[in-house]
Amino acid sequence: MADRNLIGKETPPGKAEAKVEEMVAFCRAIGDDRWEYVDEAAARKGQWGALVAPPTFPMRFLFDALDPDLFFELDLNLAGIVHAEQEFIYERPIKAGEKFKMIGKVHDVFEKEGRSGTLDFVTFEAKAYEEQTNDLVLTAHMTLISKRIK
Amino acid sequence: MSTIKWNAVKEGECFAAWERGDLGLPLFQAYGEASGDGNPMHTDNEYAQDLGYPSAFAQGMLIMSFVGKYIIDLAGVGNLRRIYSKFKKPTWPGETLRFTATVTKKYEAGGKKLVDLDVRGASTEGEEKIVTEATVVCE
Repeated sequence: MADRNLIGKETPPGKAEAKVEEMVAFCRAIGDDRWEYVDEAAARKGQWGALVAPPTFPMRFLFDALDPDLFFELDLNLAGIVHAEQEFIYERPIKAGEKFKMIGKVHDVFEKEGRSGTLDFVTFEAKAYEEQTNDLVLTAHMTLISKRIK
Repeated sequence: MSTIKWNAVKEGECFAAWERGDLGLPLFQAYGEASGDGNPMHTDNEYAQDLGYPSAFAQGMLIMSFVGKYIIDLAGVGNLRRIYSKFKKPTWPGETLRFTATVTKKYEAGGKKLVDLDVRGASTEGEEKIVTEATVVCE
């Protein structure tokens, strides 16, 4: 079962990068190929000076960049996990080529009795800081529900 | 370019709906590859059926990506401050989703002109799939 004592526990810092080719591939896959997302030459002359990532793109690097030990410490039933909620809070958009320092944290843990047994709710937080300035760019929250094995 | 203009936007205002079809395993496969979500329950019917689902189904984050596109169409690139989605029901191959947005709040904070949106995504049969709160910056 998920341990509430883990709330607030952080991962060691990880690293991530918003890679141009990954951003473009992501935009083409979701069917959103506006020029600000995929036309590098035009984007360089635009307001942001680089390609901009669409709102959900950080999923590409967010959790891969974090040490998975903390996730496994929660001891969830991996076969029964459902992604229930997702939040992104942007201080500004993410641009192609940016590198980030990533910090993950257990944001919340609680349980609920469902019709078919006990459900563990776990919310992870990931914060992305621009590597050179250390400015916070993005805060993400991911809530998973895991059905406990009896 | 954005549709939402600070001077014109009103609380309670609804925007034109947007529909997205062409949902099926090839798209789920492509999204899985592009996003790094390799869970076979989105691409392999037999695997999903072994888990008790009727078939493979869309990644929640793919559906949230459609919500993101719809919001950026309304608000303009770079103007999203917050997006918070709850996944209500799986989206199945062959379904078409319809997205709608309503202005819930218009306010100024931290020197920014902000609008909160309630964005809903449902199948054209009316089953609610995703419920989203968003905050966007306006000009």
